Amino acid sequence: MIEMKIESVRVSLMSPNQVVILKEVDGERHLPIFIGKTEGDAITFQLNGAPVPRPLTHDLAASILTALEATASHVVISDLRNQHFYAALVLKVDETEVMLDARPSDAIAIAVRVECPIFVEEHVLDEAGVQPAERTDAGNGNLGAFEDFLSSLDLSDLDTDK
Amino acid sequence: MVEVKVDAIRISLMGSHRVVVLKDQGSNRYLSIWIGQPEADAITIHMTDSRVARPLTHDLIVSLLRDLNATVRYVLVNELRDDTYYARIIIRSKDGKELNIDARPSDAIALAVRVGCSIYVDDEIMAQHSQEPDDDGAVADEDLGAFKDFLGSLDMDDLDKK
Repeated sequence: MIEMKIESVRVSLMSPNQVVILKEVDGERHLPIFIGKTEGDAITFQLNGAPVPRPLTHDLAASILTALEATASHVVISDLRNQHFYAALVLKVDETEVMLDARPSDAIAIAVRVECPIFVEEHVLDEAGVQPAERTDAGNGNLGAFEDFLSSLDLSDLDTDK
Repeated sequence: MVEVKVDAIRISLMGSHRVVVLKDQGSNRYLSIWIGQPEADAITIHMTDSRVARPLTHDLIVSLLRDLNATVRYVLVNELRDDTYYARIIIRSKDGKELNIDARPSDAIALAVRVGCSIYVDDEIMAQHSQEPDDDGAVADEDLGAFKDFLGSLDMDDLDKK
């Protein structure tokens, strides 16, 4: 298992879904996972410390865990089948580990609340992980539309008074 | 406490919200509570036996409770403050402790329909905020205010004229 942290939650322009991007803690590989808007918001609100007037569903899950004095030891993105990611919420119950089947979005939304680590199985990261191109430089090729716009500007008039 | 059952989930034409209609089991009173769309879907999907490929967040909470040997005794809509309904989920832990957990009514109800426990509403809330339909099932006149205003504003005289 490889430990991951949440790099970002992004909105998709193609669909109402969002994308949570996990990044290797000790490496550069990223794992993008499409998730629903509700779950994406649940992750974002918690990470931003945004105040919510009433507990969200994942807050409820976390408060039930606390009330039952149960500990979530970690969550793991465990499999990728038919383009669906599978995950598990792993609880520690009487010194034994109990794995609960979950969607990655729910597992991550709970992980950020109970502050447990997020892992991904190696074969999943091997299959679906992506290595970003040069980190800081977005690469000129990606700026096409913006460059076209820039070069269409007539900057020579900028400082001249009318 | 008044025992209620989920009578209907209704769609608001004004926004993305839904209304869950709870019916008093002992009389002909109905209580409407506005809830969010994801929570309404969570209730509907379960009550209509729709199959979902992966567990929803409330399904995850149910399996979490099961694996921790805890049972939901009942849920209770216990308060209305600043136009917001509050609910409690009463859980019995493995060692017999009774836990009382703060939740939104939507989450409490989505959980209740899954575990098959009773849903209660505080007497006072039911007395003050429930509605009784007329014998023919029509909604009481005073609730039709906006619609009546609209009807009254129509000029029917012109209807048949060319």
